[in-house]
Amino acid sequence: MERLKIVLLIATVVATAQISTGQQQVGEPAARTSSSSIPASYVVIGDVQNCNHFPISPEKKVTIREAATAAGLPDGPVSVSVIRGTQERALWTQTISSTSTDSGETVQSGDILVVQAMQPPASPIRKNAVLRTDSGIIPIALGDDSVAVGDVLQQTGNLPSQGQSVSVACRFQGHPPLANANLFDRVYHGDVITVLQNSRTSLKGFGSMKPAFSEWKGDSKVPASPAGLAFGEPEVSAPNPNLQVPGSPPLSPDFTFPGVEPAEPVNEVPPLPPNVSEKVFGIPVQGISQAVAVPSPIIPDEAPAPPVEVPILDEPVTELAAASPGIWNIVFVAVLLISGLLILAGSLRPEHENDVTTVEQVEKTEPVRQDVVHVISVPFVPLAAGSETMKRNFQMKPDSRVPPEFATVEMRKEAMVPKSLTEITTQQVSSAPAGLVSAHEWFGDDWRSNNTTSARPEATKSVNVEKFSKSTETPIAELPVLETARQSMTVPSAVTWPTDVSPLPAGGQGTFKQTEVARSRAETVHETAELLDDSDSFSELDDLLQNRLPVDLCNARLPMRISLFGRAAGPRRLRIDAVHTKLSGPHMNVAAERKREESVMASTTATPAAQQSISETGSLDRALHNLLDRNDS
Amino acid sequence: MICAIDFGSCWIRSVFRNPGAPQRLSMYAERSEYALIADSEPHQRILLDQQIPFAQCEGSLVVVGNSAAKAQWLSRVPCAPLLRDGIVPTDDPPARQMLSVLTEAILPTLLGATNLCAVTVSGLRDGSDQALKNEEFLCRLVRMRGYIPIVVDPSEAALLATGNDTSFTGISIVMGAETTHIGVARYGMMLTSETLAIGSNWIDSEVARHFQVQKWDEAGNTYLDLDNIRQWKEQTNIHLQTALGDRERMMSRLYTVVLDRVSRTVAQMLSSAPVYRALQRQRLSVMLAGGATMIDGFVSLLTERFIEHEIAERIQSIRCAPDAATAVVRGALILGELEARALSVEEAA
Repeated sequence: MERLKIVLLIATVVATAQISTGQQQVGEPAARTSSSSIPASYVVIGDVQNCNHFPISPEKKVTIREAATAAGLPDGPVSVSVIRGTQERALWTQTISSTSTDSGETVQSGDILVVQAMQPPASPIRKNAVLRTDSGIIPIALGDDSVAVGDVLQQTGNLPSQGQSVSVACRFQGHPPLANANLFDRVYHGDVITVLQNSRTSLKGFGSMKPAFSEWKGDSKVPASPAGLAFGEPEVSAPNPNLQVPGSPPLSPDFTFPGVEPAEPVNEVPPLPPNVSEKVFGIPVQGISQAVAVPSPIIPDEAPAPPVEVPILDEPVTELAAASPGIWNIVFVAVLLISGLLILAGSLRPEHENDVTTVEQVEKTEPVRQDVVHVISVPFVPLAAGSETMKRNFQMKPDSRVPPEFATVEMRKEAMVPKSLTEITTQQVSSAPAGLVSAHEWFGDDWRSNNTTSARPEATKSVNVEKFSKSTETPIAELPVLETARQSMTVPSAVTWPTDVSPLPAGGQGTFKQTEVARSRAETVHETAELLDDSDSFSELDDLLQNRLPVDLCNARLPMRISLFGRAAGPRRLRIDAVHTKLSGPHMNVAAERKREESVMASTTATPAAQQSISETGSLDRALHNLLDRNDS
Repeated sequence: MICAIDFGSCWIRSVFRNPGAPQRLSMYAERSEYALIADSEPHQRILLDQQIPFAQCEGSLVVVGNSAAKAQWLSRVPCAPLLRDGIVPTDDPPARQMLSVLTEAILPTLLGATNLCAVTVSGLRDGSDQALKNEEFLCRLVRMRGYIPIVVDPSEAALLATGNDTSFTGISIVMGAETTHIGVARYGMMLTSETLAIGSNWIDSEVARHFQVQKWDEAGNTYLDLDNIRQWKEQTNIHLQTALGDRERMMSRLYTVVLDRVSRTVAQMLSSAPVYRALQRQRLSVMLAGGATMIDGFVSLLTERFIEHEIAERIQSIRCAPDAATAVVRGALILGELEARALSVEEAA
């Protein structure tokens, strides 16, 4: 089956290559827009209900949170990546949830907000992407899963010309961005496809640098339009007469939408002036699929269309390809065929060569230990933290064939047995916690096999060892002896597994998924069961990890009265003032019937000079009092 | 019995499963400070009448823990920290004894054969003699109670508590009162960690010093009134991005200074060899914990700092723990239970 898939893949690649060859011969894109006055808007794509352009009101700023919310967020927290200007990467990512506060970051014109839900959305969301060209930003609804970049570019009329490069700048987590995307590359949900002028090829050092525009040459300044929304550059996007509605007045530069609330989808905006291309305002979201070739993206002036679907061509564009069969095209197809054959030849190797399990059979000549090998595939995620004992058990296997996040735990029960027993050491049983491996990642046949117990999606195959041992009461010796390592990685079909297999905890971490016991005595079964008796407690641990356990706050009971040794230091003093060691003497009032407020001079120092000044000050006070009394009398 | 204790500069918390109901957690939280009261007969009588536990030392009475706030009005001296600068004081014998009393009061009684206690230690962990003595002293307190102490880095504990949905991969930042712990982990394995000797107490002290928020005692000694600053922060709901007034703006600037240093450290850690080898250019989630991260606008300010240091592209999201104040001790309990399980497996093997 896999080989057939590879053959089909090669055929698809060859067919797509022919399409892309022909697509490059397509004439001037019909969807180019011509208006130079574009209202400020931004685009929200990803896991939102309404993937579209949204206008920005000049009066009120729209925050990232408001913008994402206006597009219809799914339940649960989402991650919003902001792509601003001509940047090829997300400027930052902000997490938005029902409990999060608004950070106050505002949306700017030309921003692309890529919303990715952190949890699978409850309601189905139409897959979408966005195409960013020199002429604008075009949100796209993906019709199916097999839409290629070439389909998007062709059906939106933005096939790259010479000197333009295509890239998938930003993608959802798990899909690496493509710096130089091919036309046959698949478009995923949430992709930001960028077709921009390749400036690297035109630059020839500092000597060839030219200003973006010259002020003295032109009569009018070209306004610095936001990146991605520069629709008015005549070199890139010449006005297409097909898009102009005859007799319509030009759109004024200060055109605003009357009565439009900020962060409101343009779909609800009143009808626009007829000369304005709908595409300029992003009213339609183009849809891409592999069904029909759209001849012209002219959109009628009626109600805003749903996301334009770009179909994938049933019939590849072969005529144009045949019209210009360049030598490079032939070479390209030939290379693809050769590479496909090499892949096919590689897949024809015997299966055991791809097996990641190694078997060591060692004949012992002396009394050896009967090893009960428990090959336990444990996602070591929380276990490895800080535990020295677990760190000894967990060993990272830097094997190129095995992802480094897999670990192997080998535990051996020591028991003396007669000679000539075979020690089977099984290694490299892989298992990964949920969510770490996406569906498109490839881990070999064992991973994809349906009867592999280590695969996380096969939750029903995962066996609670404790329940198995207790419920079946079957001696482990009766289990089929696994002769090869490959057999050891699969569940024997002859064994009837208990039906009450408990599902794995939601976290998926720290759960023994598979234990195989070979050549063991009956008492070892009980030891193993005791050993793994903690499997139930993993659910409790999962509650603790998820912070689901209620917390009771208790009051500590301290002894009522105790004695401590030493002198308490107390808090740290900021400044120590000098102690008022000596005060000046009291001033006697000569007139007994009159009470005066007498100043008291405080001394902060005890130096003789200070004392002298104090005494002088006191003499002066007395002299003044005498003068006052004399005048009064 | 598996428990965890977090010796913080502001709070000392312990948490464990309720022996009667394992699906519930029991937590003790005591302020790590004491009130210093003059030793007099009326003061003793008042404390006894109000059933406030106190201790008598040379020349003064001390009230430790949460009761310190109740007895604070008897003195003009502000409360003194039990862990000065995050370190067990060497010149304050009553404080060391009070730490022992508090530890004994908040740790549960022993139960079962395996008695582990995960301990998070405040202060720097730079391998210096002071850090080692500090850690050894606190572990000895736990050991005296009958538990086997396991020292846990706060950033590691916070990662275990908050990183469940990120596969325990990402950057953990714990901003406490005296120190800020930063760690980078991949699938629960700490790749690198760092501790900065700066926290929210430094910010509060600078604000109090600048605006002269002080207290005086009877002898003319002056103290910074940090409690006043803390109450002001709680009551005014400061937002770091929309600061109003001089005091709030200064608070925002000081937070910026701290987060600038944090971002610089994160940038260095991301470019370090072990992190780069393990994570390449993978975008990471940032998990925030600690009481100082609960202020409004913290996430936005940290995002700005990340952009400033050109590491925003390495950050997938910044999330604050829902229980930011108690996430560390809960993560320590998780690690303690994992350690207990590992020990049982090892013993069985």
